[in-house]
Amino acid sequence: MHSITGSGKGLPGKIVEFYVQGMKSMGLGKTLWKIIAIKLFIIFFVFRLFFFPDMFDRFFHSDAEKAEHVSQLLVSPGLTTQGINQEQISQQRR
Amino acid sequence: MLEQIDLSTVNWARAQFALTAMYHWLFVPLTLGLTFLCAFFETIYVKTGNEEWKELTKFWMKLFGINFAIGVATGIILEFEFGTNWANYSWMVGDIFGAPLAIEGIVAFFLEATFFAVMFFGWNRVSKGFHLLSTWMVAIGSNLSALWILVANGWMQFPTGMAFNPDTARFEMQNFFDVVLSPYAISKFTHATTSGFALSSFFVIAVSSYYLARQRHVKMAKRSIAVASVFGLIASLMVAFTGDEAAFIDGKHQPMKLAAMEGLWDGQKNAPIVAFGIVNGMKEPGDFQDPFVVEFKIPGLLSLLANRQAGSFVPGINDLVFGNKDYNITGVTDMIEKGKLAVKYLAEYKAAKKAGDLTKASSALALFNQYKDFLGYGHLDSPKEAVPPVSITFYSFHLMAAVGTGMILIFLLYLFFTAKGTIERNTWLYPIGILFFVLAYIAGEAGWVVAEVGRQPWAIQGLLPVKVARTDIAPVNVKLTFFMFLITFTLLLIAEIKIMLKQIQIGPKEVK
Repeated sequence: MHSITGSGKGLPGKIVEFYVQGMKSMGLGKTLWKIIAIKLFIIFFVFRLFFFPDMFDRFFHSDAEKAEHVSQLLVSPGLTTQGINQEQISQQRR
Repeated sequence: MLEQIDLSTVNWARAQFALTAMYHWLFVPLTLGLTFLCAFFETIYVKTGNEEWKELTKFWMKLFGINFAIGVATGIILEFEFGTNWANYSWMVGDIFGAPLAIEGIVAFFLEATFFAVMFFGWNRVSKGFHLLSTWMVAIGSNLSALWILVANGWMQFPTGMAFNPDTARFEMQNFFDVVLSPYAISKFTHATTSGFALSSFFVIAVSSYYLARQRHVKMAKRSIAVASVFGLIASLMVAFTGDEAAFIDGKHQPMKLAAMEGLWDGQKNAPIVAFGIVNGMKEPGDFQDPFVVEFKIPGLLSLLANRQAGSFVPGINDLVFGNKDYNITGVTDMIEKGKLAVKYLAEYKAAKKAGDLTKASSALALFNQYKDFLGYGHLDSPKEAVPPVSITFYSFHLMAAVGTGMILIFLLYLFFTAKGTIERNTWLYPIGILFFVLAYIAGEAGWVVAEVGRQPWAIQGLLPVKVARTDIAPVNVKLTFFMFLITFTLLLIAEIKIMLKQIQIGPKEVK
């Protein structure tokens, strides 16, 4: 029995060895890790980078601008957000 | 035309969020319950020292690991959607959601990274006691992780412990404990987790019933059923109890949702529950159409459910839309007027502040504060907008309640025949057990439909309608990512089912 506390290494070394040995002894786990890696790549690299930008960070440069934009929406019921967005963004750009 | 395009975008954004949440909820409930079942199995192993229990634990732990691996990080996409599709909403709630979601991330990371590894890599490498502790910590940690997400959801249903800052247009947290201990947070957490326990118990029962039907791993299957039927029975009773509590607080804080759940259009004393009914989907507030095509009612039960008082008055959709002076109910019509005043005074405050007129700003702010609780209503175009889709809410609620009731009976039957020692002879029960595993999933999803569709049109109850919460992006972008998710998640689900079925086919290691 390999013990996490029984070898001559220091604690960090034992913990690393514990994980390394555990990874090496995996059977089905290796397949699952591959699936996790592919999934995380798709989620964080493909989806996040190319399809899910933070819209406020893209269009506004400060919290004050973001607050102003949302305030405009809150005080203008019935107006489409599209109209407000475009008008406000072009105002800010000017 | 522009309005139609806007509606289309908001509905695609809604559909995308629903799709992501529902797929995520395929993985989560099994994680929540299976961890506890593994902890029970391992506790018996440690207590008895019987190696058969160890192999049994390892088998269920393997299936738990598959579900966990496939499901992990599927929820993070919901956070991406906040920033892209719901940027206005994200800005407004950032201060409230920051703390719970940060705690969730930290708890999940530390508990899962530490104890998860011990649970899977630690057999024969750490002491039995430490391994058991790790399994329990994963169970507790997974469920605690769910707590923080459900706290955030509970706050959207019942915004409390916060104040609206008109300068930043944000809801700012005033009292962390009011948010965490709100009746909705507690109700969401207890109802969602116990339903996950019941579903996981059916998972164990379904797989074990399959083995019994095939006369494979019989001893292991019978032992698994014994533990799962006890856990499942307790969990399903808790689901019923917490569901009753959820309906009670809906009656207090979201009466429109409760009225939609029961298809109650005109309020009444001694209000009935509709045990079975076909909803008239064409009915609208204020018209004289019958609410049901067919209905079978149980008198008085809704009054008990909503108020815990026999014979009491329960408001219907029409009372809530148009008001009812006899019962001191303010209608949406009046709330919209107050909402318009909130919007007007907020606009005056902002304009005065911009102009540097502090006196006018202060007086406008004082007036805004009188009406701020109705801010969201100021954005509704008509009172009818405050009515959620009744048919979807009604059918989802009744499906969930029917399956929930059936679950108790099926757990009882499994427990009864297990205690009697005749579970192997009652083969007729096996397909029912397997069917209820599927039904438990459908009921869980239906429960979320009730919770979320039943509170439309609100992103934050009474304060922010979804049409203001959404970001202005082209519908085509949302449609594209909707189908990307559909394909990705479906592939993940197929992978999970294939790997899971293969491992079930292989079965647990037999101890000689």
